[in-house]
Amino acid sequence: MRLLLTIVLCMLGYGVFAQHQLTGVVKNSMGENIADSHVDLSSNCVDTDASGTFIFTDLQSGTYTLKVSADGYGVYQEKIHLNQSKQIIVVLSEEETLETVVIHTAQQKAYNQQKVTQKYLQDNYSNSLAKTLSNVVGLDAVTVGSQTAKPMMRGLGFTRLAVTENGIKQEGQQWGADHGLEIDALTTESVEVIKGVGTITHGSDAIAGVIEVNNETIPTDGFKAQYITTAQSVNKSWANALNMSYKKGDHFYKFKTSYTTFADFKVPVDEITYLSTKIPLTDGNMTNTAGNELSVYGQWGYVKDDFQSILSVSQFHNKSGFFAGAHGIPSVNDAKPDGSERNIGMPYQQVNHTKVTYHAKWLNTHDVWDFKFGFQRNHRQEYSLFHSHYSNQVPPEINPNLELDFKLNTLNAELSYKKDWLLDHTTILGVQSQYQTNDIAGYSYLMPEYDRWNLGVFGKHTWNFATDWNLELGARYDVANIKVAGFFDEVLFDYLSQRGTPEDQALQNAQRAVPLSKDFSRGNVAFGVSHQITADWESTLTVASNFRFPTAMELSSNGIHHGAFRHEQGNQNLDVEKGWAFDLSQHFHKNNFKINASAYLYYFTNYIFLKPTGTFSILPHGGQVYKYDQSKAMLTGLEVDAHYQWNKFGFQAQAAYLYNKQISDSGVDYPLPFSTPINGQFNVQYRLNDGSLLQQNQFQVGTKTALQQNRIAQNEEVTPGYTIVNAQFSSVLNFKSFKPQIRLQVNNVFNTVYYHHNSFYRALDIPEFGRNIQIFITIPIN
Amino acid sequence: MKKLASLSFAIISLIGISSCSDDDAVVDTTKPTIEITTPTDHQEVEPGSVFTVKANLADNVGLASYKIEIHSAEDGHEHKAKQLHDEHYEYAFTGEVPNKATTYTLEHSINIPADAPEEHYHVGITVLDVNGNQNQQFVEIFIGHDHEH
Repeated sequence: MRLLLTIVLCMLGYGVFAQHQLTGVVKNSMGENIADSHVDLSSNCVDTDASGTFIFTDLQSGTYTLKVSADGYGVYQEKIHLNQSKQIIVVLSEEETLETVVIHTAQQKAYNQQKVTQKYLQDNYSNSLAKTLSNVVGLDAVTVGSQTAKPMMRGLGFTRLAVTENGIKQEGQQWGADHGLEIDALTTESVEVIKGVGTITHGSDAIAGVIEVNNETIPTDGFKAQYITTAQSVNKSWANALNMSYKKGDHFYKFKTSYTTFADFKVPVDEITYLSTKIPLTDGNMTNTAGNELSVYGQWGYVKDDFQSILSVSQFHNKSGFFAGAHGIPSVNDAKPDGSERNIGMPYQQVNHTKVTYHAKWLNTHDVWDFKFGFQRNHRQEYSLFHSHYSNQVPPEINPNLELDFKLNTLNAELSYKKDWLLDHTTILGVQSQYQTNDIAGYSYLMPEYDRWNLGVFGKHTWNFATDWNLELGARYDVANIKVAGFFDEVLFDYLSQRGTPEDQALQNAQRAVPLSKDFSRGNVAFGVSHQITADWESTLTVASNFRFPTAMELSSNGIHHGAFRHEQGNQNLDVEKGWAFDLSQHFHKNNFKINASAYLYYFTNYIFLKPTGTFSILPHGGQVYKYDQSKAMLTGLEVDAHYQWNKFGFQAQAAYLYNKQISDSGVDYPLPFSTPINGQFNVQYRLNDGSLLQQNQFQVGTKTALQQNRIAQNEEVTPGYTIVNAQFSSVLNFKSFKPQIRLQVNNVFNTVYYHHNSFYRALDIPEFGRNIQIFITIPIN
Repeated sequence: MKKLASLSFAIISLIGISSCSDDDAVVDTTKPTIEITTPTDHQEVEPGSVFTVKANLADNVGLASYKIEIHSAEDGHEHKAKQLHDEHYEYAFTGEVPNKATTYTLEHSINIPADAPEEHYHVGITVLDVNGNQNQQFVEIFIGHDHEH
């Protein structure tokens, strides 16, 4: 028994001159007793029994610090003066989470952290996980089409934002803006958003922060299931998901699956203008943007008091068409209806992401060994009828229309040890390694083949040096090696030679990837402090250095970037991207009012960016050459989120301001690309009375606003501001034991034409969705 | 006192972190503009003739260079099947705009070979300004005789 063990362990070395005893009961805010919570009293500790009771005996008179913690609850702490035996009641408050509209920073963490529950994900569901999370203040999504999106945080995305699932970093972020995150929103259990600091435990790429997806929630005993079905008008999508779990004794099993099919989406305009060509859209239909998505997830867990083992296997598949009217050169013909709204014609992409993660924990009362292992295979293909800009290229015999094919295989392993030094110190030490290899195929050449390995060691120490002060220090050191395979494009060389291009130029352009092997290393530090200023007000400050190893593309590529139609040139002299992040968060919570405010600053000493050279490429359709370069850069901003409950009304307001620029030696400081405009939301909820059939009825009206974004990088588009109005009604139907939850939602009620600055289709003058009606039904099955 | 100190620390930090000076006076993200006057969309061009491209270019700061390209519009660009011609007719020319002028009338003559395959072509003009801002415009033409369109 863990309880017995705990008592024995904690009571060792304990004096015999005591006279008093301290007994207590740990309860939650509903008044229910919490079993198995952990109670520290200065240098002693016990766990509560099944009835939530704890007892310390043989105590001497004096002052003690009492600290109580339990899974899912915030930490409780108080000073106890003991001169006689005492009985107390400790009430733990639930860890505050991102419920329907409230965003809250958890207590006792010396960094900016927000927890997003499954309920929030379902209430805000908008096709992709990244888009669903974009309602969290400070987050945004780079979208392409209706179903695919990549997350962004504070204007940083791609390889500057780490996404992890079950502690393993999700790979695939290094691919372009027309490629999304391969994690399904409908089967996701919970998400934690950590802003400003992530490098210490996650290494390279966690510059902006980390989005931690957790699918390792331990289910409750017995069989539980949830069926979700949702449909929406704008792309005639229909999604079905089933989440099941079964736990008996020490073992549990989970099976989760979802399938979505969607048609071409519609936009509220009849015509778009791309590269000065007017392209008519029939009924606003975006021809060939249909697709489907399938996610399957299986998990087996073994949970005991002192050991936990969870094995997860998942597969994510997405196939979706690209709008051909503006894929490269504008084409009026390709935007015409192609006979079906649901077919997926050329060009299209297909992604298969297979993942196996294993997580084991050996738990003792005050220390934990933690082992994680992950294997991922991200297989992405782009199909497009064979075409070439070089007249001498012939289609391949096998798979002639496979334009690009990447097979990215990644292995991760991590071992960490966490030690609680009784009351006020916690130390984590860990070692992390990653091996990655990218293989390519297809008739076009874009990304080089490469192998990369990375080894990192890290340590983190938390010191709770007073009841109202928490301090966190971290350090990390990484070494990495990347080997890029060179590629000489014979076809291109012959083509250029035939056209009479000077040999040195032909050679230089035909060298599509420079072979190289580079070693990188980097040390990092982090410092965080949180202070409970008053009972209602908590303040957190973090300062952390961060880094990112340059990618194979940035180091070695050379040629027209498909899709962007841009000649991009790698730079093998790039150094590790380095910077500092500062984040100051305030959290105030009193009665029915809550407010969170964060201010942040990221400073880069050598931000990697694509610099327009002003020199034309000699390649057909080339435009100018863009070369990877580095300069100083800064990003800063403010995020505010407030919530107020007044009788049956709930009000929520949130706003985000972001400003960034390069700091160049020439004194001309251009803004960075993909800058989220100043934006905000305002929502009002009204709770209606329960009827006999309809219960927990809630009506919500909200607006979403973004101001004009005119701070753009070279060759981006200025995006006008907008305000859209959304409305929704949700209710729980009361059919005896069968209680489906239904939500009916109308987004963009007034069918406003507006543009999302960070949409891949923005550059093509394609607006966002018009009025969209969505129905979302959740049926719990027990 | 401690509260006051914390409060002022918090406020000062908030202001300090978020305030920033704006000195973007010289930032130029305005793209140059292109107005192609000849050819007009779907214009027919005789093989073996001299074909003149005319366009008005303009920029708020200064024009740098331009590129004129002609290439087949029937190379199966993504959505359509490629028609396999042995030889495509292609043309590319790069020129400088003198003295970083803010307006420039581009006039460029091209000899269309008599054996250019009869088909639809794209005429594209790409323009760069002195700060690397780029714009592109395309017009579709038909090179050939007797075109049933």
